[in-house]
Amino acid sequence: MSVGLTAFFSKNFTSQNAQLFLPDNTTSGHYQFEERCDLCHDPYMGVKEDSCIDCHQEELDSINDSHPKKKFADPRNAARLQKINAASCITCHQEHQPETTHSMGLSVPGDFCFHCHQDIAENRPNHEDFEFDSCATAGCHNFHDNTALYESFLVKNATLPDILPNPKAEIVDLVAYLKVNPDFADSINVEVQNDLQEGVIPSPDAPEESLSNNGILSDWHASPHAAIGVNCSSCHVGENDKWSESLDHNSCRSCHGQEVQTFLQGRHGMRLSVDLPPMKTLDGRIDLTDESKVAHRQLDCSTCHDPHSMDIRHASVNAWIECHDDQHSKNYKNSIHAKLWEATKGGKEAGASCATCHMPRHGAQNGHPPYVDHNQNNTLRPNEKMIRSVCMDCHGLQFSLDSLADSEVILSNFSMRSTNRVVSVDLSIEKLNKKKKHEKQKTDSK
Amino acid sequence: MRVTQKEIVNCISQSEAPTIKLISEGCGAGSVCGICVPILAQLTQASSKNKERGIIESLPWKGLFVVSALAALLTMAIVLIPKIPASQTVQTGFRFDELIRSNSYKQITGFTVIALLVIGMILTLRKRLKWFTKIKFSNFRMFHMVSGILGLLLVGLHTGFSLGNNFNFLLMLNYLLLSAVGAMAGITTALSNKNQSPGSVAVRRFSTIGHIILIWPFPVLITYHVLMVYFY
Repeated sequence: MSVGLTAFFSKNFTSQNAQLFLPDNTTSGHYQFEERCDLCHDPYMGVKEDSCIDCHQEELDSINDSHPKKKFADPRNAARLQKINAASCITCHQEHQPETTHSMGLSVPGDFCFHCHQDIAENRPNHEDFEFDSCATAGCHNFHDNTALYESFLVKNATLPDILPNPKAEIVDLVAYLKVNPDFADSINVEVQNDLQEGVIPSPDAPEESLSNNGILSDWHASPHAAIGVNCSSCHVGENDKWSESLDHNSCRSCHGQEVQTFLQGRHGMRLSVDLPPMKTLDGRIDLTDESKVAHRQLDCSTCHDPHSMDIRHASVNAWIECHDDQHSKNYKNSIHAKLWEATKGGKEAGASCATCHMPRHGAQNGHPPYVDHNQNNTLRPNEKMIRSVCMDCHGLQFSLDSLADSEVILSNFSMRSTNRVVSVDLSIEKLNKKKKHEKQKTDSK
Repeated sequence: MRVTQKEIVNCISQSEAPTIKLISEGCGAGSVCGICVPILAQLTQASSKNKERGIIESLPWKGLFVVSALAALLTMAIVLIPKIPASQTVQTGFRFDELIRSNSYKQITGFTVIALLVIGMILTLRKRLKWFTKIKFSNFRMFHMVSGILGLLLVGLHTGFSLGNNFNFLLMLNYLLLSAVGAMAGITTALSNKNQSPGSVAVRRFSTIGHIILIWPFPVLITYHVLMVYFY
């Protein structure tokens, strides 16, 4: 019996797939690759900081992390580190602790700011009445990402109206970009030189036997791909020069590099990025529809994007609603955002679809073509992340802060207006006014 | 000792006035766990003899019953007591939930449990090493059970009364079954001087054998548990 058990456990222990030995469930951020223990754990060394940094440092740098490691290398912070070792990711983000883990993978009590900032009311008397567990939950502060919460930013945008006079949604018009950037077209090996004129559709170059499906052909004829001369072989013929019927995200990568890169960083493609089979709809932890039509979907580009019609409107709303079954998603259809989106049906990517907020579009900049950010993490949790990149395309800062701090409003998919007011802006202005008054008194006294 | 009925009958027939003591010395029956002493008493018709009755009464039935019942209660407690809840605030000073997650706490409690289990297993040496027969079996058994009870207490503290998941759950299941069946063996043995019905004999035999069988996977499971913690 003992020999049999030893053999069985050895087999599972040494393989990459050691889920039998999982002490408990992983967090929502890591569960998709929990069978790849080796991604975080080094043999006999536990979880090294590098495991966290390898995946998250780039993002922490891009958001100008408010509590970087180097801050705690300062000897003046040594006493604080005694209370909580904030220089180590796993102090606050312990894995396999579902019962103590809450939003954003935080495994310490929500009032952890108390450790270092318990005397905050001495320097900021207007903070006296605030509870420590509200620091990061009321649209005021985040431990890492405060890009939308810096005092200077709050003051600068304090007076914006709820709805901006010229609401805008970034439009990704890759076709237009290619027309004025033939060099980019060349760089991605798209043979568009002869077919850039709209209305000129090239002949499909697929093998005869693959052209029997008229639906696919007519879809392609009407697609932006056909309009710019992306022919069948552009996607179906790989590096080995052989025709392939089944495609994956690598087929899209040569032209849509940033989309694929962000897709692999996000919730839909992260398994593919670590050489695991694609995420299945049924394996998701969030509320997903169990309709047989979509329940067994495997997530790749073509799950949401019909590869032949390239119907962006379908990918922007229907593809989401078909799978996501939470209250926020269910309420989308009756929301003001949805009505706006429907009202602009004749146009291109205007209005507010699911993708408008959760996969925001970025125009061409710094020599990069326009792209859609497919990494949902860039706009989710803490949701203040989306204030700058999404909300303030159409809304004022105060309106955005109030809405995102109100769970009822979020559940209703912004069909109602928040009655709460986040005081961050008011406090920042109050502080600024005090500072001005103090400086004036100082000047007058001279 | 594996003394057969034939050997006992032979031993009784060789003596004109057989007593429990004579049989024990003659063939070894009743010299280990004492569980068959009431049967020997029946065979020697000792129930009417005050001296023989005294031998039965002098066996530590009550103590065995108490520690066995305690082991059963502790086993149930580990199953039923909810997991120690996570602290909702860092402003309380000492946090027990933080302590039980710490590496040093886990190592101290965990290795102490293993040490207690190893110490408890000394019981099995009495059967294998002659030197150990100098100490009464009932004392060994009591030591075995007390170390088991201490182990149960520490397991509760080690896990924070969580039953664990996946592999850890397997280990906990094995441990709790081992304890429960062991406690049952102890209770039925303790009651055996009063109840020798076929049913109780069957339960006692089943639980004693079950306790021995359940110990076999345990070293493998505990080894992989320790290995898992250090490897990952």
